[in-house]
Amino acid sequence: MVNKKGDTVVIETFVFIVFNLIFFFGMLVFVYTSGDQSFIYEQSYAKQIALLIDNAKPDTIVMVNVKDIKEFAEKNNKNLAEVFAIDNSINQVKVGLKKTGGYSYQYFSNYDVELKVNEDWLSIIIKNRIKS
Amino acid sequence: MKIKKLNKKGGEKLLSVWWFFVLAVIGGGISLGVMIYYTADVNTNSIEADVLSNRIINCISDNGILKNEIFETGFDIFNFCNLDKKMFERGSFIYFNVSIFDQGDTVLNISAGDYSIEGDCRVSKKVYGKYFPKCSEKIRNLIYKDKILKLAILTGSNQKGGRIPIVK
Repeated sequence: MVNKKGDTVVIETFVFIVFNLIFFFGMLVFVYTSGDQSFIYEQSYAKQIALLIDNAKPDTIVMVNVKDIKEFAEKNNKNLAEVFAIDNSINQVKVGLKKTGGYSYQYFSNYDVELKVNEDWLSIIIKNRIKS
Repeated sequence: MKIKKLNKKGGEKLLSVWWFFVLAVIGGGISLGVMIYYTADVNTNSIEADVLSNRIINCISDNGILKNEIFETGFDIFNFCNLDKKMFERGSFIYFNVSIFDQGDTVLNISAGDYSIEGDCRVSKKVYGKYFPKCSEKIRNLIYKDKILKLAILTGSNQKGGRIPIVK
């Protein structure tokens, strides 16, 4: 006559293993989704561009090599030209490597700024703002 | 006297609870570490304050000589130095104070921006605060009409930047 002790041991062990698998799988998913470094690049480029604008004199063109963020943009199916944007009305630089959003930083200069991307280079064209 | 011999089944059940507690602590620690790393902010406020300070100095002086325009009536530092006045209005993240002294007497004082930054700058000299503004204080001796005047400029920035939903 077989007793039920074997049944309970198997069930307990099975449940124990399942909980462990759920935990480790959850940790792996968390680390994998957190492993995207694009937000660091967004922040660093937005601040870098804003500081370059503030440091520059009018009628200046500053060129920045953006090769290292090109792969992040391509991974998120985003054109490099769409990554950078400027809002001259509120003096805001915006950098977004994902389609869901990006990072913004403001500059304090009274300049009209235009951004152009050509292959791996971002041109920051700084002009005096036309006074109304 | 009957001695009840205890089996090890209860011990195993107790240990499994302890095992999950340890897993929760380890998991929590890893999650916390990852979150601290990825929410780290690169603070460029001190550089920004320094840039503003240098911009104003280079704008109002030329090779150590103060420009005449700054003492004219109706002098507008924003126009003169290509600063956007809107960025220095109420609720701004930035501040500057330019003072010129002639042997202790103040001959010129211009300030704009978030005035609370001035007090915070003084406090931050003695106390470290992670969310305090970062400041730049510079003193220069400049020549004006054969006199040596002292220029004291204090700038501060407390900009935090921010995430935006869509980049257009």
